Amino acid sequence: MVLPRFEVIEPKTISEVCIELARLKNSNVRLLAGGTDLFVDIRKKILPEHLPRCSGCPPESNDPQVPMKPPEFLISLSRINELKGIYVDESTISIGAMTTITELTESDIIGKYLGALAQGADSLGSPLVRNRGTIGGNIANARPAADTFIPAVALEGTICVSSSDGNREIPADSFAEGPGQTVLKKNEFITHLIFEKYRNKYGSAYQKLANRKALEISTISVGAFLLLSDDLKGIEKARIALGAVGPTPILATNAMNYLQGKEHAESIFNEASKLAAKDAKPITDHRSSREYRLEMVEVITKRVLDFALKRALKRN
Amino acid sequence: MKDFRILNSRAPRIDAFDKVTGKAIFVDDIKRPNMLYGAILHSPLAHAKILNIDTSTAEKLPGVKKVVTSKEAGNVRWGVSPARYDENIFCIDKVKYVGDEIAAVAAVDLETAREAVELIKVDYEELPIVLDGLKAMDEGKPQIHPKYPRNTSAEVHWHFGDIEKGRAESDYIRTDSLSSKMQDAAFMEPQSMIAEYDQNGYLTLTSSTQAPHYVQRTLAMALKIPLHKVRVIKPYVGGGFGPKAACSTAELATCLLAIQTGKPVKLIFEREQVFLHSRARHQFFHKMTTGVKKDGTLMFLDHEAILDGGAYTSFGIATVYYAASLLGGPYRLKNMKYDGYRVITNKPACGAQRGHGAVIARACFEMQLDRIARELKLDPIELRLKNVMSTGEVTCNELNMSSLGMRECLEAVRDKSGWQDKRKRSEKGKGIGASCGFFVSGAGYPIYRSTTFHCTIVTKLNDVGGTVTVYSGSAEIGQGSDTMLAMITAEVLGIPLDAVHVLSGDTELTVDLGAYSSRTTLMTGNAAKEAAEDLKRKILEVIADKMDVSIDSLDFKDGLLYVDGGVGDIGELRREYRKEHLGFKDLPSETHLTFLEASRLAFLEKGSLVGTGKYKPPPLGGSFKGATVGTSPAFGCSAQIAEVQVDRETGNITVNKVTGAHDCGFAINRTQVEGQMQGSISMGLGEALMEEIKYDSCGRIVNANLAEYKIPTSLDMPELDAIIVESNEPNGPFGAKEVGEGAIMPTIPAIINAVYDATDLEVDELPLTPERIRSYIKKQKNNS
Amino acid sequence: MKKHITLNVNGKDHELLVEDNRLLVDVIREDLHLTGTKKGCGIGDCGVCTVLMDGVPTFSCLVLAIQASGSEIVTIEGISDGNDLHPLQQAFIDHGAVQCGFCTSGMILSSLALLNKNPSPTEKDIRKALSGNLCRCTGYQKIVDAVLAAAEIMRAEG
Repeated sequence: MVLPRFEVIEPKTISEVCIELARLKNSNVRLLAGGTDLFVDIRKKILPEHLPRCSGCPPESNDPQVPMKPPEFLISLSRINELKGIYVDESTISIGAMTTITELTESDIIGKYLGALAQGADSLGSPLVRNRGTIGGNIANARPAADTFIPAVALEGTICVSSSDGNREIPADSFAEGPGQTVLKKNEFITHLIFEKYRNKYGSAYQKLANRKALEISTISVGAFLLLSDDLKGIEKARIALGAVGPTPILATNAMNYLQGKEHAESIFNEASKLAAKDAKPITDHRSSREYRLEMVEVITKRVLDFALKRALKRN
Repeated sequence: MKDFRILNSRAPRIDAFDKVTGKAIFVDDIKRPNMLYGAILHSPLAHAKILNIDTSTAEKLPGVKKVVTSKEAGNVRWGVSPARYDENIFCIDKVKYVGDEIAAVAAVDLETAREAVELIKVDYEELPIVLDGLKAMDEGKPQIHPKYPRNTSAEVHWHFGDIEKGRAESDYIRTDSLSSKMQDAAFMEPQSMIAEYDQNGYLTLTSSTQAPHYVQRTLAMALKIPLHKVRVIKPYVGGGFGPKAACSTAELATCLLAIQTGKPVKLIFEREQVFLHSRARHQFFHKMTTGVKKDGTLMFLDHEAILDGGAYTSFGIATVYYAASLLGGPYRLKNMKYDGYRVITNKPACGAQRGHGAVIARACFEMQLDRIARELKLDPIELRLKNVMSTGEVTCNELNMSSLGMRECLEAVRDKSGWQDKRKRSEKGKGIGASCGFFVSGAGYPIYRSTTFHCTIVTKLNDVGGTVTVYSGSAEIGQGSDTMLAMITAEVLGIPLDAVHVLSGDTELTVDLGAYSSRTTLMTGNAAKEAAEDLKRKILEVIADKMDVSIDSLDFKDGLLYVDGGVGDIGELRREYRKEHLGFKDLPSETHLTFLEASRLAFLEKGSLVGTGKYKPPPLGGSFKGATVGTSPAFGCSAQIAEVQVDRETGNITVNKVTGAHDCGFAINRTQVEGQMQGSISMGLGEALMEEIKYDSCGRIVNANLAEYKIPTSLDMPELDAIIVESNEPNGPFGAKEVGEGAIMPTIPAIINAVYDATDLEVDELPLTPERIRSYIKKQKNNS
Repeated sequence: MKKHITLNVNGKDHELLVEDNRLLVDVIREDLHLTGTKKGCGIGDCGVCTVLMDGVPTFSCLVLAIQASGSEIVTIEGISDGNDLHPLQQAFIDHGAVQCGFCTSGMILSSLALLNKNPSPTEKDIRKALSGNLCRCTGYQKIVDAVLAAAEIMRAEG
């Protein structure tokens, strides 16, 4: 694999990153976290660019996609201690952007409070990818199938970003605007994620559907969070996030609104799953067809809701 | 069973130490002084005329030493089979697939070579693309090759026996179809090569290849260099599985660059290039009509197949024959008709991959057998046992089953897996399925017409005595052939395994057709046995003479000389050995004379001692067109039972266990045989459930990487039970025959049949992805 | 533009001058001449380039050499002492877990990291830990057998 030439800057603090991003605002800069997506993205291609069109190009295609110019500068985030660590206090859980996916799977805090995120992390790629990939990188990359992004949306996470203009907080469910596109400004970067800490009567789960049992990108995925009423019979809050069925993670709002306030039951979950499929907007691509994805949203949403409920009931 | 000292054991591989310590040298681990790096320019279009190639800017880039195109490469036609030489080194007037090679660059480093490739300007005039293998032969389709009207590069029409008679005598007839996709061998080591050309015009190519011999011939022919001035060496190779069994454009281009620059040139494929250039598994479309009597006796098979093999023929002319010839067994089938077409499309070319053209055909037939069994209300294994051939029988297409442990394999897996009980259970979603298969133990004829020996061996005694070196052109690619050669040699000579060294994979050593068609154990093993016997006789002749005994009274065992089963009068000989080792401590002091001493004495008497061996199969097969393909001095056979769990809601299939039995004639090394079985099953499982090359409408491979082209991970593989059956093949060394490719035959159909048992689904397309299974389930619901 | 880095590989410090875009796998193989770490895909899909970085299995094909400066790297060459093999290496030999050998270095290192963390893994634990290391030759069965056997030996040796 051949990488283009670039200069790597290795800041030691968050404010140094802000300064560098401001300084290089007119240059082609990218942030380097784990590198598992970035290097694959920017590597030199083996095949020359597809010519303006060939007789096989579909009429509405936008070939040739203007090849992305390779970055001149990479700002590496791996030596910044402020970006590491998982912290919990009275009301929140905070996860540093440079926390690796493996660290998420091994964290008792994540396992206890953010079950869906632990499951999402555990299902991502392979052990080698998990050892290197980071939650910040996974979310900044904003793929609609990202295995930590979907749980983060289901768990109502908040994405905290910094720049030389200051800090701001962005809800996870409005962070992505399209595949690989986020609301991040050119000089901003993710520093950490914050989740609300619930005491009890909550449960979350995540499941991804794929063919083989490792190294897979989801055909579809579903993350769900349930907060139960005091008598454990009612659903006080439900959140369902769908992956790989739209240009961004999809919040299944119809299903969520339906569940709100109802008593949980098999028939209720079945109906919610049907509604979730209505919220999904999948396309057909080389991995799967639209029809199959819609069908599976219903199947997997049901399974994930059952799992989340089981956890909520156990945690009492 | 004879008491073997070394054979039939679990001796560790002789190269395992180097591999577990990182010492083993593969091509990319080699560096030469002043070495240049090569890169290739590929076509971005699937079908286009080349109007103009401008290399001027690329040539001026600092660090670039040479840019070559068809101008330098010339227009010699090459390919795999002389009957279908349809490629040039570089495209001359048109490109035929996305990835087709147009030019190559040698530069001081890889970065520069890749940059130079980007600076080569090519003007194209697009041509309409042919991607659908089923439509490629239609009227009006653009013709891709001037040589192949209707885009058909090979056509087979066979009729053995009389299928109309068979049809008339059948009580039940059914037609089934199965199609597959193009697949990749996905070996872990990408193709890699270093070419060197010396001041006397001698070309040496060090390459990750399975067939140094065929590569040597193609290099000589296409580059117009005398054969004796071309040498091909393979160091350690990280897997072959078929695509590395023929010369490649990259090897030709790298050699051309070395010749033009006078410097060593290294070229290593990126994984994407492995997908673009490996001639791997064809796409198959099979339709089979089979008739049986109501007691299950097979009456006839009417078989039609279309093979989509991409833009060049490669091995395809053999593939289209293999797709039918290996259906002549292992069941008695008197009447068999076949119409096969190997078509050309604007996709990367396909060639031979483990099991060659027989794999998907076997899957279709075995799948059909289970549906027949259900109709006739017979146990699927009973149906098979009813029809299985016996040792000594000959198929309708004249393949001789000189040994056939098919019945034993079937019974072994039936008993070991708990077949009877598991079939009676009806746990939701669980199923169990069985299948058989067999494969050649070495192709009966080389790819090019020749009376050459398929392999020769030279085994030389170390002049100081004690050890021997086996020289062989054979290709150890991970399958264990070097260890096999060492074990056979050690056994025959009666010496410890570590006293045998093997030097292999170099065309300068001896001739060997290479590691393909699962030939090495039977063929090269036979030659090695002969060479060891020859050398042993030469050593013992000297000892017999010195001791004044008959040579028949002498033998070596565990490195010791036995005279009439005892010690013998060795005092004189030992004194002779010790006389020339004054000052040496720790000289042999065993009661018996040692091989070390005896062999040294033999050298002192005769000079360097060498044993030679050679092997060529006798003329095999019938005299009809294409009869040679499928012939072999022996056939290895396999039976497998797969147990699956199907998630009906998502379509996911989990294989929980595979029980396999393989008749390898005689297991030279038990661990190695099991390893080949388990590896075959993993490739078969991948091909059944998850492997397919995906193309877009422009003819580009969409999933040219190991994340999107899915081979099984350790989590996807179930427990694998490997049973060895030994039928004692008369044509094989110590009764041994193949295992490397025969063991993949039953895997796909065993899984298909297990899914059928679990769900009653009649599938017709591979791979059985979850989505495909769901669509079958929905169709089933609608029909009911 | 080159940078000065110190790579600690197999317990030894190496002072190197490398371009920013040099990958760890290439520096290990070409500058340090440790070719036991292999290259199979270049983009983190196959695992043959696995090294241990501060004890963690890492694909060296997607790590820049400069990112590895300051970390302890272990390659396959670093786990044995001359002809004395690590129990994992010996187990791979004894149980037929090696065929072509190209995935072997990565497999052994991933297995080693697992056993360091979990001395009594189940078969499922082993398969999961190795799920990023692809093998096309063995079907994984004998690799799993070897790791189980090595684990037993390592537990006995304490």
